[in-house]
Amino acid sequence: MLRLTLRRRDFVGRSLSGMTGVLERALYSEEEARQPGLLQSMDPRVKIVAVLLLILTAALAHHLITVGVVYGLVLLLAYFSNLSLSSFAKRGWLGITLFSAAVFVPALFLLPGHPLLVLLEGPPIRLAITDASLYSAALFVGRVGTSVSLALLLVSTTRWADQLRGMGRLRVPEVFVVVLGMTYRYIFLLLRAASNLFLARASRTVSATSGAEQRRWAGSAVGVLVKRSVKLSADVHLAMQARGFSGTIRTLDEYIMRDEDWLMLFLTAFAVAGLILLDGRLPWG
Amino acid sequence: MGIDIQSVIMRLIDVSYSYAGRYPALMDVNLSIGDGEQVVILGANGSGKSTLLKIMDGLIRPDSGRLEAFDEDVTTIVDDPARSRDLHRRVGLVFQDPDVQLFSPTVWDDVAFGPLQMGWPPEDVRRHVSEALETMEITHLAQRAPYELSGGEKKRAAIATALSLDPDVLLLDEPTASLDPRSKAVLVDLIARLGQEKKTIVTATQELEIVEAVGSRAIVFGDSEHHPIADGLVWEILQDTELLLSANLIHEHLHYHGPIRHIHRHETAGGHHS
Repeated sequence: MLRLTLRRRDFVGRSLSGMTGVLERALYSEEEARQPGLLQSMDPRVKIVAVLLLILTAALAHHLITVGVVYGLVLLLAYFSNLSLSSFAKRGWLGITLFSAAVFVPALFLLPGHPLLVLLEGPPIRLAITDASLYSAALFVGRVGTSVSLALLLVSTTRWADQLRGMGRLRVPEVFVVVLGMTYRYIFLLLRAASNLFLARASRTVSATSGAEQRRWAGSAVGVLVKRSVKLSADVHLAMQARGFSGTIRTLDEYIMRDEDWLMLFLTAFAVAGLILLDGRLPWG
Repeated sequence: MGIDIQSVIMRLIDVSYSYAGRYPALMDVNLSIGDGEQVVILGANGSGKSTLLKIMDGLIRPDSGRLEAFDEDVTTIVDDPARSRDLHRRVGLVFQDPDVQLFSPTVWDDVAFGPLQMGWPPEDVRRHVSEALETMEITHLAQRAPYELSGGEKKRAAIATALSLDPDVLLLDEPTASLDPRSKAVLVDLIARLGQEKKTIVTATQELEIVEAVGSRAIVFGDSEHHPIADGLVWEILQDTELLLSANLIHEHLHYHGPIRHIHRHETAGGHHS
């Protein structure tokens, strides 16, 4: 019985908890973006521009100090936007950042410099972590972590609808913005359908099933979902036509820049200019 | 049974439609809808109600027959985008599945979608959106994402998306399907209120309990005929149990009340004792 439970947890259980997790995170993110706070009150266009500028600054920085200052700014903004700093830091650094650290591991042994840790000494191979390679690794991971945290800051303080509108107002093609919005919208619906399929299977599974059988079932579930999504897209198109859609999307600009939005934009530009100046003046290495 | 209509707003003449040329959905349908009428299309699953509403909204073209709306032949309007848009402005369709209709990031965006596609000025768009939201009593949900809404809220939002175009005719496909009793009652009240304002409303349903509240005239589609088998006043239709039985809208049911063996007729939805 225990084995059966574990096997279920292996496949169906993990798939279910993954799907539920995605839905919960999205709902939590929307709730967070509705809280009162500094960034929540800003125009989404300003936030998108500010975050992009800061990501560029972090990505192009040559010094760890510059990246550290950008991350400090991120934490400050998160604090004034009433985000939980511990949870924010965890979400920003785990996952993608750890993955990027793993990607960088081979490079740790390739850069010349003063050896800090020698793993293999002597001909023909010498494996050592140098000060230069460690610094490069820290800089790379720092850049990735800071960029991910900046993106997270944007999505945690801006409702999805506002992000889309912000993109639209920043001259991102409307077709792209609308398709992106609809994709996100219907992913939820299909996730729920997939989750129900998995639940229905779990409720009817009374003994352990082989890996081949599970793969066969997963394949057929994908087929069912594809059929559903094709029908759904045809119905959605009819529903759009029923309200006058004839191939061209029209949207409405609902945003007006206020003084505090201009101030935020100015402060970000000022901070970015200062950081570029700092990065250029710091000694190499 | 038949009914006299003073001023016809839509007319279907010998309309037939089949899916993939093999599965008939409608066969030789003849019916007229009067201006300001509230009509209920009654029929069991698969009787062709949804297809009928799509044809009436000019979304699909009948295989044969003619569709007239507002004194114009609109049978082939599907192929004419400009005339199609005009018909869609005047005839609003609310789909059975509200998720199909709510495709935008927020309820406000969805309700504004129609007016924006019509190219109305921004101030007109805002006014129509806020009126539609008020009518359906969902102003507080305007900035919500569709996936955050309950079933009843989704249905009301879907109706608001059609109402924002201020249509002359509102077509509702199974508006109360899968709703809890309270949400159903709220929605039925809102539809009834629209009817009191003399809006032409065609409601397709199989739920007999809502019929009297949302319409004064009922057209019954046969279970296998795919065309109307009766057309009359709602109270007359609801009293004709043989008709409802043949249309698969009620059924005979054997059960026990304690020791008493009991056979009587039930509606197909809701299990209401007739």
